[in-house]
Amino acid sequence: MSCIDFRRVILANPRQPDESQLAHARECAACRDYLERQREADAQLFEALQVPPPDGLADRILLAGGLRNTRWAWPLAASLVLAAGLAVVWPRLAGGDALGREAIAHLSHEPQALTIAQAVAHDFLPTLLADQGMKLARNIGQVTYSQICPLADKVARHLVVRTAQGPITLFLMPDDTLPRSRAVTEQDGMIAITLPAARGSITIVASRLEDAIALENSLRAT
Amino acid sequence: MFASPRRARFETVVRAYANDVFRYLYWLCRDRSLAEDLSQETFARAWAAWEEQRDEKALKAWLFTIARNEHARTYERKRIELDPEAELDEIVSRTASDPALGIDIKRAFALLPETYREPLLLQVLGGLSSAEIATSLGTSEDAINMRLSRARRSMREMLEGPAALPARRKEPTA
Repeated sequence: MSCIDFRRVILANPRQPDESQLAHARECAACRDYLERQREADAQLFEALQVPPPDGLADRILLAGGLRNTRWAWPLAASLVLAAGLAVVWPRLAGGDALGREAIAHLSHEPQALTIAQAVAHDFLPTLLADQGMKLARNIGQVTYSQICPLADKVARHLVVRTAQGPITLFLMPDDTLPRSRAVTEQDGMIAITLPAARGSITIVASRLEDAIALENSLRAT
Repeated sequence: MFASPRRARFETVVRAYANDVFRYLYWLCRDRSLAEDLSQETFARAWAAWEEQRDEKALKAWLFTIARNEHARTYERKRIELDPEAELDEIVSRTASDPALGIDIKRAFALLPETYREPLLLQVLGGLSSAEIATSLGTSEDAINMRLSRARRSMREMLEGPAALPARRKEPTA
């Protein structure tokens, strides 16, 4: 691949260079620098586009559509009980941890998460963990990305933490009602560790098992 | 009323994507009130067509396409004039680490031709692939990649080139 071809492709999409483009970037310092500058420009644009949404927007949308309806609260509770029952049986039948697989697959939906550097307060992660009855035994690094995402039909807080070993992804799910046991999932060259928390669950996704375990070992119950 | 799982899933999707859909619509119309109304319309239409949507991975692209169509329908009803400078100074990004740079970037983005601005918005804000953007905008992937390249080149020229926006212009040194 020539430098001209590389830059033409990167200018159209700097977020997900393929293997041949990454190989070129490893060999060509000028193009590597070009890729980094373009990613930084995209991160700045992403940040600039984050206009604050109106407070309570989702609730108003649901109310306007008549979708906040207490009549379905009991059927929903019943379905959650059924789902919880199935969850006990399902991992044995499926032979793996579905949440871990889904968390790894989710990363490809938001590739910008690993390159964006949002300004997130230092106490943001400890506050979220405290809400799940957890805390950190040591400082693991700066949170550089935070987004609410759907995961396994629930709402998850998708975080990226810039650790000394590189970016590690966390999915915090305080409202995950399914009984979880620790599970390690390997898929697409990534490792996910799903853990039960005092409230809900936490899933750690990293490219190396030892990095995911290091972060897991820094988590404590409060 | 035993359609709860369907509704529960939809509620999850609303909570996850309402803010992104609002931001996308805001940058199309640059009117917060209109963007909120269009967000409501978008999810109302999404709910009406919920059974047709089965691909989890394509959900966001599907919602953005509905939002874009709602915005276009509004434009058909009444022609809305956009002032490229409107409101931009007043908008404070949620995570503005450099407010001056943020305002320059917003201005440069607002000055892009619509054909460049929209695919860039869908890619950077929406996280859509070139193929998904092409489907949403009804054109080819090659055409989208060309527009994305030109959009980024134009942004860079506005922010760093000889005709840069005043705050970012690099003055020659003696």
